Amino acid sequence: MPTLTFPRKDLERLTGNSVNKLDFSSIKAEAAVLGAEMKVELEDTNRPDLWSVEGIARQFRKKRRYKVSGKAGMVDARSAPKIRPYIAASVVKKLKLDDAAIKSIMLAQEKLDETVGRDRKVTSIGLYRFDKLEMPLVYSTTESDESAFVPLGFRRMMTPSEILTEHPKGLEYGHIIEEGKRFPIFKDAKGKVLSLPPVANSDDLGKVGEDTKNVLVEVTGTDRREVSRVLTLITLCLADRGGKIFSVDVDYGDRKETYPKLEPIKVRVNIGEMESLLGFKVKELRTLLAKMHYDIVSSKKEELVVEAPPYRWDIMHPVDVFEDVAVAYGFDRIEPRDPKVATYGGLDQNELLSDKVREILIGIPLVETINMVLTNPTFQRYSMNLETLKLVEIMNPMSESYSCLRAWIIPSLVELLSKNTHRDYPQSIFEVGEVVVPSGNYLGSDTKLKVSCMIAKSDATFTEIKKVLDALLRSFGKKYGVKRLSHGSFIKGRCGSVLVSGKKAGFIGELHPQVLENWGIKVPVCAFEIDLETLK
Amino acid sequence: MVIEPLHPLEHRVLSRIGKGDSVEKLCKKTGLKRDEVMRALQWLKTKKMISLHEKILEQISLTIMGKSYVKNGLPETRFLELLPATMGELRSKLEPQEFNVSMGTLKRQGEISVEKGVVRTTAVGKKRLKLKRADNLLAKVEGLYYHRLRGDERKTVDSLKKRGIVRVAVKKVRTATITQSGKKARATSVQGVERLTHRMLSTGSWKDKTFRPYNINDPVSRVAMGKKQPYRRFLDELKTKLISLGFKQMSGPIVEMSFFNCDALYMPQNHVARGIHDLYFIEKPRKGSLAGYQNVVEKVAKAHETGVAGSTGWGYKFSIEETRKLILRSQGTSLSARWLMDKPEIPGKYFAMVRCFRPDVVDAMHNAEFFQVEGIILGEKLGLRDLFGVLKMFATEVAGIKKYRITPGYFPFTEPSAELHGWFNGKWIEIGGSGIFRPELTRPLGVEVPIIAWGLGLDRQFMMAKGIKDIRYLFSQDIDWLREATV
Repeated sequence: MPTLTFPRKDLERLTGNSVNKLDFSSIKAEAAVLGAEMKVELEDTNRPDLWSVEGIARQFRKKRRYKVSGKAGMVDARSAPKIRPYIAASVVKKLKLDDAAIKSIMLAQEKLDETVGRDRKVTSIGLYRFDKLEMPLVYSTTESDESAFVPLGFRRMMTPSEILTEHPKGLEYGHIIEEGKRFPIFKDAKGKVLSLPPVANSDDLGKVGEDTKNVLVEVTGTDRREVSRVLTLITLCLADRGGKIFSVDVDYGDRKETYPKLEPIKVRVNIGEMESLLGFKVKELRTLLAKMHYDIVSSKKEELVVEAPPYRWDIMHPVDVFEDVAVAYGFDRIEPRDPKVATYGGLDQNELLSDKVREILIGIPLVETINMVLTNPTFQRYSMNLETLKLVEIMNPMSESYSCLRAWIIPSLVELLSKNTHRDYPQSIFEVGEVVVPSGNYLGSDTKLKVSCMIAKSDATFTEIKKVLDALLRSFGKKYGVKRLSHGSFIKGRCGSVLVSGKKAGFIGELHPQVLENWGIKVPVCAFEIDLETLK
Repeated sequence: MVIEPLHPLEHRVLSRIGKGDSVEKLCKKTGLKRDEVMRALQWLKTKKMISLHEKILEQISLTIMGKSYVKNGLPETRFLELLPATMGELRSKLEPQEFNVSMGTLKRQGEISVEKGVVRTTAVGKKRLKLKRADNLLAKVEGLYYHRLRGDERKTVDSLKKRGIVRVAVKKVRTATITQSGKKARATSVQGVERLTHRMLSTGSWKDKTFRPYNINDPVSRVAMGKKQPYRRFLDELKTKLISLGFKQMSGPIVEMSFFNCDALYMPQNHVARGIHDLYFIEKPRKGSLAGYQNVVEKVAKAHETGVAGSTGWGYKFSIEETRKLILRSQGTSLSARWLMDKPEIPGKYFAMVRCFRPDVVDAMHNAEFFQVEGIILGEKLGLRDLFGVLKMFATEVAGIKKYRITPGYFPFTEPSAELHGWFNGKWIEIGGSGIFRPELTRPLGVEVPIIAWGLGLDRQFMMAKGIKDIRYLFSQDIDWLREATV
């Protein structure tokens, strides 16, 4: 969810309205005024056109139709680097940028580089002083020790390989181009370096200030469509600051492209379908469409063809237009209606079973607990005196405490006891919950529902926990037996497999003193764990 | 002054108590159990026959993880000791857990650098390795008192505590001392008949007895109860309401494939919420098999690539490898995807109440694991007004709030989308998200009618109702909270 912070006055200047009069819910945003600053949280991850002050203002203003005023030059991309093959560019002239405008454009650039650009990997933006450049520009590759230039914020000439090892941006973004033998380089006709995309701009050509009237915008990247879109967004931000847009041709040898692309997005709207999906008749449809910046290009009784602004790539289907109509109409005016859907409710079979088990155990009485499924191998294996136990482990854990899924519940309950050694005994607890066990199925594991009970007190015995197991299984009308088992977590000779109707259902026993010592528990503990499946 | 006869426990404790006796000492002196001594002390205190004192100490102990690290060394130290090494070498020499955790932590702290697949120790890392401060402290920390540590040691202990390697227990030491009036009572105390017995009743000897009058105002010890876990109770009440509203419950696996959790929900494969910061990925195996779902996978892929039902689609090349990635379920909507593929009833209402997992940094508002409650309604001619009707029903019937509002929302798989907010304690709080599933989602799964989808974030309401300030408390392992929480 992108968050923007900017001067409140800047938005008021661009919209010509006080921020108090703007309805931020119509752009799915939450806004807070913090003194002279304003903080806006945007929810729609599919509307990058809104991730700038200019973009937000654009939505609150009357629709502006952006035009290209002429051609400003060409980029020769015939030898474009294979690892970053696409480039798009435009020129915005006659700008009068002040400090607030420059900051806001930088902010928009950063946001887009970070989000759509995936930290400059997919796209990255560069802005340059157009008046210092000689057309045509050349986007090609260079050896790592050639094409030295003075990068932004530095005072000496540096080669690309020096930038990658010494410049802060080189350290941050260098990995994107490191894999190629040759690096991408962007130069003008005279061979002056504009930038080492997507890492660093030239300190001389790539520093846009209040005195810059004419700006060259360039976007390079690995995704042709995103490159073009990002270029359009930054170009429009500059145009919103009072500039005039000029196009730039890109020559790939086998084809030529012209940027920025400002064609509107065309959608057919079936009025019947719209009214059915919204659930009400829309009387002032034309006004509502205009409010959301749609143009109606043709209209029949049942169908409209509308054009959305060139940056509304989020519109993939007529339903997107339907929603805009509803938003313009006002959610607070839409009257709720009870859906006429008569159905019978019901619990899942496993939930019913869990509820019965829980009811019986609470009556014994045991205290119910719920513990996390995320845990770590130390708890699951080492602490329980086990050498091996197959676990589903996480590739990208956030911490060592949560690095795998539990394959059994007993360690969770022992952990609970270890945190309550200063509390009154007896401590009789249980959990009905999920565990995940590696298997050969299509997901590589099975999620299973288990029940585990545990009694801890100074005179806890095997008999006592077996009574609980007996009560539970008797309640389900199950015949069962217990067969001797050797298990590292339990005292030898005091542990067994529980067999229900001849099938292995789980195990029961008195915990090994080594386990209790591991966890700092000073009373004997008895426990069982069985699969709920066997109670069916 | 009328001296009431003492309870036998009181008598026993009073007759043996001295000055500054700890509870443990009194247990030994009297031969009584700890809770019996405690009870007697409480009673004697209200009678002002003894005085109680309390001292609080913070004592450090190793957790089970800490004990294993004392034995084997901290994973990041072991990691550093192996450097320089390639990723492959490190993976083969360390457990996956150790490798993944160390890699992340050390990188963040700037102790290692990774260049062309080779991991090297930086200057910072070398210094750490030389000093081995944390390792040395860890080896001697068991049983030490926190207030006696040096400032830098406290810092290290704080960070070890955060990682669950040590714990700091607050230890209360209670002592009791007999008062002047206690001494007087000890000299003059009398005992009446304590219990009515079977023998007295069968012989009639009760007729000659006087019974010791009880102090009926005395506090009693707590009876051991069985009880539902408080949050589970809340979820139980919720599911009962949903069933009464006609919803059937869905269930599904914790380890999911990206296909069900993301792609079938029309989340594009380059979506930001599909990276390592938003999903937990499984170490082994990395990918599952979609052999049983080929038909629907093809349809979903087409919806993403070129669109279905009049949509342009996302317009990128769909990757089967990406869709096969195994992850932990990050949203309950994955169950809706599964249910829709499996020929649902039309009209139909379904809900799920399941654990979901996201790699959030754990704090008072975020947990790595949480319960999500969500559902779908399928029916001919359902529309936005019906969605609003459903939200109104949740606000009034389920959440029990009077003042609510509905605002536009955004979810990648619904259009239109709406959010439900409730008015609590003077501010608007989001209690649910909802929308109508996009046709790009429903058509490939074989459903032609509109589907209303909703998700409720009721954790916060539960927390407010119970005065819980920290979301981790929903999985609390505090046995007294489990025992004593009100229903």
